[in-house]
Amino acid sequence: MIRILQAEIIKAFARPRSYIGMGSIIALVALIDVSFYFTGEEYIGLLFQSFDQVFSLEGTIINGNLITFIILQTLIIQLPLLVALVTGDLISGESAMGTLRYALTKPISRFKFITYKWITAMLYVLAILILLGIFAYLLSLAIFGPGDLLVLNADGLVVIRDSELFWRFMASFIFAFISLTTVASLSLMFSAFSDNSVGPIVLTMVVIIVFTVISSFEMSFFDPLMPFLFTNHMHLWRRLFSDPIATNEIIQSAGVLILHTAAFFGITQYHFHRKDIFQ
Amino acid sequence: MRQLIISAFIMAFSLHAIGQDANAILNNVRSKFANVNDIRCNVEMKFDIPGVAIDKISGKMIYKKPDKFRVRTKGLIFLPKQNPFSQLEILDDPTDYMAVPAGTAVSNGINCNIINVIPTNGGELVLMKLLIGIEDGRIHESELTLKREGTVQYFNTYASAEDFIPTIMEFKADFKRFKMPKAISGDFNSKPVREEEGQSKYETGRVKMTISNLELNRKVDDSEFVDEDS
Repeated sequence: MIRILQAEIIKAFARPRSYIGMGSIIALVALIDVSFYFTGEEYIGLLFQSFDQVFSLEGTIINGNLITFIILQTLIIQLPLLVALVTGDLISGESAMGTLRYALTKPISRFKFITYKWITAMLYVLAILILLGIFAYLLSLAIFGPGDLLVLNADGLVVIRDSELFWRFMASFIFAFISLTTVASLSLMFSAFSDNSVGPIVLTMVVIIVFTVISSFEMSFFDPLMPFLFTNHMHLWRRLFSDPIATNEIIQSAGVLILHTAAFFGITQYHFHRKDIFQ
Repeated sequence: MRQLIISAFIMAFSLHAIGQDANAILNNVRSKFANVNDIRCNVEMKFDIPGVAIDKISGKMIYKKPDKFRVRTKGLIFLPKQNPFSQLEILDDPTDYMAVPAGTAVSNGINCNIINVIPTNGGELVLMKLLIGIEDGRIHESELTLKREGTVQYFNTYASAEDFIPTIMEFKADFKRFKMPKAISGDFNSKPVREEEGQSKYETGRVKMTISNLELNRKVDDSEFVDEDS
C-alpha cells in the first residue's frame, strides 16, 4: 500500500506544473523583499497618514516580521490558485490520459485510491507551505532582521512585540494548512467529477475568486452570506495577530474549514465509488 | 474728557503691570529650565490611542538643549511630534513671544495662573496656553495650538515639591479616525463600521510617559540621537 502511495506522490511531483506554484512563491517573495528593501518607507508612510499629523512612529517598522506578514497576506489569496493547479488535476488528469482504468486494475479499493490521492494533495500543500515558511519567514528575517510587527486592520493598528511573534507565525502556517487543505479537497472533488484536466482547476479558481471578491465588498447586502463562504474563514489566520487573540473565532473557523474538507472528501469518495471509469 | 484720558491711562498701566506679572511668572520658569542642559532617564510609555492596540513599553529617554529629544526602546512606539520639553524651549527667548495673563484655574488639584504665550516671530506655533502653579511656579498643563498639527495638550505630574522635570507627562491630541479599505488592509473579516450622522471624524489619543532614574546634566552626546542603522 505504501508503494502505491509513493507512486502517487512521485506522479504528482514529477509533473512540471507542480513546480509552477513553488517557482511563483520564490519569485513573489523575492520581489516583495527587494521592493521593501528599496521603497518600503514610502509604502509605510502612505499607510499611516492619519496618525502622522500628531504622532510619529519610532522604531524599526520595516523588519522581517512585517515583510513575512505582508507576504502571507498577499499570497494567502493566491496560494489556493496555485494549489488547485496541481490538485485539480490529480484524478481528472488520469481520466483524460486514460491511465485511471489502468491504475484501478491494481488490487486497491476505490476508497483507498482516492484516499492516497487526497494524502498526495495534502503533501503538496505541506511542501508549498514549508517552502513559503523558509523563503518568507527565514529569508525576510535574514534580510531585514527581527522587530515588532505592525498589523494594519480596516479600523486600526495592532502592534505585536517581537517576542510574541514566532508562535503566532507558526500557528498561522498551521491555519494556512487547514485552509489550503479545504481548497485541495474542493479541487479534488471537482477533479473526480470531470474527465478533463482544465475544468476542475478553472472551476476551483472561479469559486475562490468569486467568494473572495464577495468577502471584500463592504456592503451590508452581503453580510448574511459571509459565514457561508469558506474563503471568508480562510482569512481568519489574521486574527492570530489581533490583541487579544480571537481564539474562539479562530477555532470556529478552523472547525468550519475542517467540516468543508470532510464534506468535499466524502462527496469525492461517494461519487468516485459510483463513477463509471469505462466511459 | 479728562476722566476718559485718566481711565485709559489707568487701564494701560494695569495691563502693562499684569503683563509684567505674566512675564515674571514665565521668567521664573525659564530661569529654572536654564539650569537644565541634558536629561537622561528611564521611561515607561503607555498608549491610549483609539484604533491602536499597543502594549506599554519601557526604554531610555534623552534630551539635550536646544531641542534634541529621543526615546530608545526595543520596540515600536508612538511619540508626540512635539517633544515634551517644547513648551519650555519656546520660553527660552523672551523677545520671541508676548505673555498675556488669562486668569486662574485648577489643574490636578493645584491652583494655577493661566498665561497665554503669543509668538511674535511667526513659525509653527500659533498660541501656547500654560497653567503654572501659583505656589510652585511649575508648568502643570499646557496647550499648544500649532499650524499643522492642530491643538496638542500636555499634563504634567511631579513626584515631589522640589522637582522641576515632571515625573509623569501625558500627551493628548486629536487625530483623524483611522479607516482603511478591506482590499488594502487585507482584513476581510472585520465587521464594517458605519459612521453615524454627525459623528466626529476625529478621535483623541493619549501617550503617558512615566519617568524614573532621572539624571540631570549628565552629558548627552549628539551621537546618541543618531540612528544606529543610518
